[in-house]
Amino acid sequence: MVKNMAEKLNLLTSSILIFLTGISFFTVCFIFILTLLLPQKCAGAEITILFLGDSLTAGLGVEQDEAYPALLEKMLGEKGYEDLTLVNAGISGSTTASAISRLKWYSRVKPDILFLALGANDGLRGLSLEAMEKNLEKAIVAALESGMKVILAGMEIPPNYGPEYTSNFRNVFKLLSEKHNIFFMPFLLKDVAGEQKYNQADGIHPNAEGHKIIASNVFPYINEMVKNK
Amino acid sequence: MKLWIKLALRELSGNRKFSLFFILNFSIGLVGFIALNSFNFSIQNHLKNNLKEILTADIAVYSPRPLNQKELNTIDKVLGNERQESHQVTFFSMISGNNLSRLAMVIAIDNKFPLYGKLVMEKNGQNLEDNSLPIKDNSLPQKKPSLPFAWISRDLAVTLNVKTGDTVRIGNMDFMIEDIVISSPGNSVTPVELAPSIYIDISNIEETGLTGFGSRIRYARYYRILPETTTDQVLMAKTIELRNSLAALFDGEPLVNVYNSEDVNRNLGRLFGYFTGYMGLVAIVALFLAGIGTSYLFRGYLNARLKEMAILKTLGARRIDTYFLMTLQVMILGFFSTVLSVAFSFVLLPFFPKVLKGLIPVNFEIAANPESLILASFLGTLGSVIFCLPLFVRIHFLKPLILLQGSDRSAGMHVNKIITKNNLLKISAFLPVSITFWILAVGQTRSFERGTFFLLSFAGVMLITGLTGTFLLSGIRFFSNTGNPILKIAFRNLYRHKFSFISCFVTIAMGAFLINVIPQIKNGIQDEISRPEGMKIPGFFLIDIQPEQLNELEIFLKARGVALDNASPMVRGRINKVNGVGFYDRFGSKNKKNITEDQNREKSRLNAREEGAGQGRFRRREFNFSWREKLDVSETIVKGKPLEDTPWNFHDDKPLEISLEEGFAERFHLEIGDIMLFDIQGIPLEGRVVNFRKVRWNSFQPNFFILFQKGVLDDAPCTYLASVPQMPASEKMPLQNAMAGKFPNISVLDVNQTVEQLLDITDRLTFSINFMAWLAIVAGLVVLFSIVRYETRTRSMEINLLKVLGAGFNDIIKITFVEFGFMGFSASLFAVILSLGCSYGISWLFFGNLWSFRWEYSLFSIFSITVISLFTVYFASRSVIMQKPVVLLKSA
Amino acid sequence: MKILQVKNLVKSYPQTSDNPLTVIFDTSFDVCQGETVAITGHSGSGKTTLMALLAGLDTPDSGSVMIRGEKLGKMDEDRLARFRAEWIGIIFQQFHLMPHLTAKENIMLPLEILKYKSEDIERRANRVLRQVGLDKRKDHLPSQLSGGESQRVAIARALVVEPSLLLADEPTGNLDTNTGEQVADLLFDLVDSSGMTMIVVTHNIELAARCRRNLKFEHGRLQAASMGN
Repeated sequence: MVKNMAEKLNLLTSSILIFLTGISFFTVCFIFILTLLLPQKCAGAEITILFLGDSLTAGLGVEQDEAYPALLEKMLGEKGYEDLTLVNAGISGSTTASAISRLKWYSRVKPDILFLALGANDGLRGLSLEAMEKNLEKAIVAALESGMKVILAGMEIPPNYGPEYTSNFRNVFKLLSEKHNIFFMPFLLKDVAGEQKYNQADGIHPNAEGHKIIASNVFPYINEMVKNK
Repeated sequence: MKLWIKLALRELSGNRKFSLFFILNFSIGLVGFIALNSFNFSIQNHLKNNLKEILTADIAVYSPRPLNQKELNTIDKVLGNERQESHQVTFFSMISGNNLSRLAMVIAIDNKFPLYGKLVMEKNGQNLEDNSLPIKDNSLPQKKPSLPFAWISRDLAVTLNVKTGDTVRIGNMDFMIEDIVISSPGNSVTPVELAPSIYIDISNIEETGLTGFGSRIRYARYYRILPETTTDQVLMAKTIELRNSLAALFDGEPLVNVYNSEDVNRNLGRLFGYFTGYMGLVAIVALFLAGIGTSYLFRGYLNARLKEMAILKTLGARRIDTYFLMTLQVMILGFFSTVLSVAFSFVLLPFFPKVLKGLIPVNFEIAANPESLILASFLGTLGSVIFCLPLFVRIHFLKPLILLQGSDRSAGMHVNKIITKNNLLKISAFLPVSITFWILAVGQTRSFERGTFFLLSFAGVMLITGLTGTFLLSGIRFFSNTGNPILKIAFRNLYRHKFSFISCFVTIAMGAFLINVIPQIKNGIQDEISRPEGMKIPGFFLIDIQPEQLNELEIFLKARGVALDNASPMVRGRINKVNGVGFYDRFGSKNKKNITEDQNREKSRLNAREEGAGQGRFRRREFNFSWREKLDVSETIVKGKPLEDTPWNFHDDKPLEISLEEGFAERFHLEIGDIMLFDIQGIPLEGRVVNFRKVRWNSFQPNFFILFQKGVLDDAPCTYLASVPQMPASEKMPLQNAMAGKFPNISVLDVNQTVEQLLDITDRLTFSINFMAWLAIVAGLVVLFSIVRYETRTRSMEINLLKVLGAGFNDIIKITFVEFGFMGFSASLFAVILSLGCSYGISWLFFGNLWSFRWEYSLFSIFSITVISLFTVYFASRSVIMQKPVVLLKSA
Repeated sequence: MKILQVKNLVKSYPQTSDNPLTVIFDTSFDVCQGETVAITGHSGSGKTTLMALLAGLDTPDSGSVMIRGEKLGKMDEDRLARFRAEWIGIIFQQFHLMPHLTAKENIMLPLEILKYKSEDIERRANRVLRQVGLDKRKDHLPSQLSGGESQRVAIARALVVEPSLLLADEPTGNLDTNTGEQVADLLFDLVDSSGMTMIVVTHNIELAARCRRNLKFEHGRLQAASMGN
């Protein structure tokens, strides 16, 4: 009688064990399949372009789709580049000091091309140009090391900052691009800066029309890059 | 006529004690009124001038380019020719001197600068504490030095290591440092300075070569409107007109901005509003309290005069003659009160700053302003009549018959009996007082609704108090069934003198109520206006600190003995949608509606433009988002529940929790429970508003409109904003320089003297509010004294009777103590309870929900009112008790 | 000639809401020119109320009081005050002088109220002052006068307008016996010499006895009319 009871109990425990193992197995399989599927779904775009910049890139004062990176995406789309992703990493007020850490943050989207457009705020605040140069250089080096192609957008500072400072400022970008042999756009705000009709009332930030001009000025550089990719 | 004047004067001089008391009592109220109004007027003027000094003008026009002829014509048209004008050009530039180069704010001035305020210079090595500093008032040097001159700020001089006589280079031009600026009237409406300033002559501006194409330059025109007596309302109207007509010249956002002193600090403007409202109400309350005291005095006097009125009537005087006689007496007294109070205020007011030395700025003068003097004279002569009018009803019902019944009852009691039956007339006699107070309240609060509300709640409080008194009376009747003979007599006395108890209860309670309400509202406003306790204004703001620099920076500062305060992470992003609707579209739709309505097209067009312009300002704006371990001392949750303490999980479906600043929520029409969609650096986030915070921006601490739940922004690229405490001026520059060397990317913003000035203003407002509250309390206590004194005197008959019947001194004192102690205690207790509710209501309506309760003060007021009642009773009844009971026989 | 005609006078005071206390029941009597009449009775007999009705200080429930042929009930309050001032003099038990006016000023007061010419006022006041023997005390305030002197001032004030009817309410009630007699002597002398009509309300039997006619009042009714000597 007692033995019978023990046998029954034994049977019960073993069947529970088998059931549990089965469930676990299926769960593990399911999760595995899921993990296989998911990344594939995410990795749709072939080329990712990162715009690392300040308010000029973020499009302060205009709609996000009026800012030049968004306009570029449209223009490239019209050119037939379907598999492009443009990431607008513009932060208003940001200086070159933030470049390296932000670049690390965006490394998870695995950018192929970096459009580096920082420095305007450093200049407007009269910050040290040596520091600015070092900051930019760190970002450029890091980008190159991780296999990105880099376009450096040059900046200029309003003439009221004095002839010496403005020319030194301008040269930082030029020298960096030469030193690292990267694409160089001499002045991001070409044809826009100082023109009242292309700027907002503050005289610093381009309006929607201004962004169109920037986009068309930036376009050849991006186009060149994408073509070569 | 002559007869009545003679009689009136004769009666008054026959009752010198009363006349003197009346005049003193009423003039206390009037002096309070004049003083409050004048003080208010003076301090506002002083502070407004302060703000004008910060702006250096009545109206300032800023533009990013020189104004064109059309714009100048517009200005001429609006401002007229009666004005002074000063031009300024400002820009940032790298200034070099002694091989060093530093960003500075170049301020090019003309010889009219500044239109308001003074430029204090250092020449001859004098220091700031010395008031005899040479003051440059509209005076560029007459004999120009060989080089163009510059006045350089002390900070910049230290940084560049230059002194008077050295040269600095601005653009293509060398400038000789002629003097060093110690303090200057503000030249910016922002409270922080990105860079120290340097002043040059506007005529040298072209030659620096810095103003060419692409330069970022601000052109300013400052206007001082003449004559000096132009009112603030006119200035405000001109500002708005100028703003609108200049804006009309632009299609989109106007390039030309118009400011007046109110724009210097919007927050301060709101505080001024509270302040004026508060002071006005306190002035009315002071007057009201004096009025109560006066009419109480007058009631006693009138009762004594009733018999004489009756005699006059039997001798042929008509009713109108008796009215006239009494009115004349009141007016004469009122006139003397006015004369006295005006004299008082002329003598006293100049002493104010002396007495309050250190609390009131040195150059602050309090002058009785004509407006309040005229008002006081009016209130003094006519107001006293109006106050006493409710008592005139007594003359109306007076019948000479009482002369025949003399010994049975006093004339006053006889009249009381008749009056209680004529409620309509009794109430209508209060109408003029009510109307007067209504007009005053509307005038003082400068708002019809508020004034009306003030009066109605006043009446409501009186009614509630009266009802409570009646209710209490039945309780007293119950208590009088006690074995203790003293309690029995005391309570019975209270019960039997029904009318006197209720009126006394109402009056004491009203007094106590006002004494309680005022400080409670005061506390609320003070909390809002004053800087948070123990919180210092920062010396510097540090911006753009990179996360990885934070530690290093802290160590660096610690080594120099400086603390890093309030380091707050900051992430920038956009708000895309609220409840599924585009964030800015929500305002657009409202706009459209306005236009389609099509009625009053001109107005809606204007509205549209105004809203459009307003929108432009926050259009497509980016916002700063932050998160905190716990709320800063300068902020409190006023609505909703605190944010969840657990970090938000990215993979949760739950929207993250958001805390909004109250004003921000109001501006953008956001409610608790709204779902907001953000775009933070390209990543969409959905959140739900769970609470509103009140932020005391006056604390000048880093605060944010939008706070997120913890964990949301942890990995997002952020920068830090922090502050550094105030330090001696001599340590500022070295620290700034060291910072520039070690952390070149961190911008160090000097919290400039504007902040000091603004805080100084708020400190003064806080002081005045406190001071006025105490003044009103003192007035209330004086009134309390006259009421209790009057009531005790009416009991003299009974006290004497008790004595005749064999009651000892102690017994009588005990009885009166129980009577009045009970009355004072119950009335003040009730008033405190009532005041809690009311002050909440008042502050909610008038002062934007600024309310804070301090129970210590309420307890103190109950205690002090009871004690004062007892003391007054003791001294007033002592004289009665000391009388020989034989008076009782004589007075028959 | 009948100076005073009282017809069916009734007066009651509301005691409780439904049970008024009637003080005077249907009283009628006449007083002729030059008569002196005493109204006597116990306390509470209604004689003071009768006095008030005669002086027009109170209004009857029904019936009428006619003085010099004019009904008091028909006049409004101001007219009544004027009428009273011109034709009725009242002397009170408690004198009721104006406390802040001197003896002479108190006497001048009714004339001033009636707007007599100032030389008339002066002349009359001086004459009356002499008549009551107070010309030496004329500048004293009531508080400085004795009871007898005060009552003499009150008598002078009542007589100065030369009224047709003099009403005296216990004129000696507040005075000691001696002074009372002196005041009564003066009063009757003056009344007799001017041929004035006087009604005295009193419970002083001696005073009543000096009147030509006595009306005894009891429980609100006239009891008996007896002729004095």
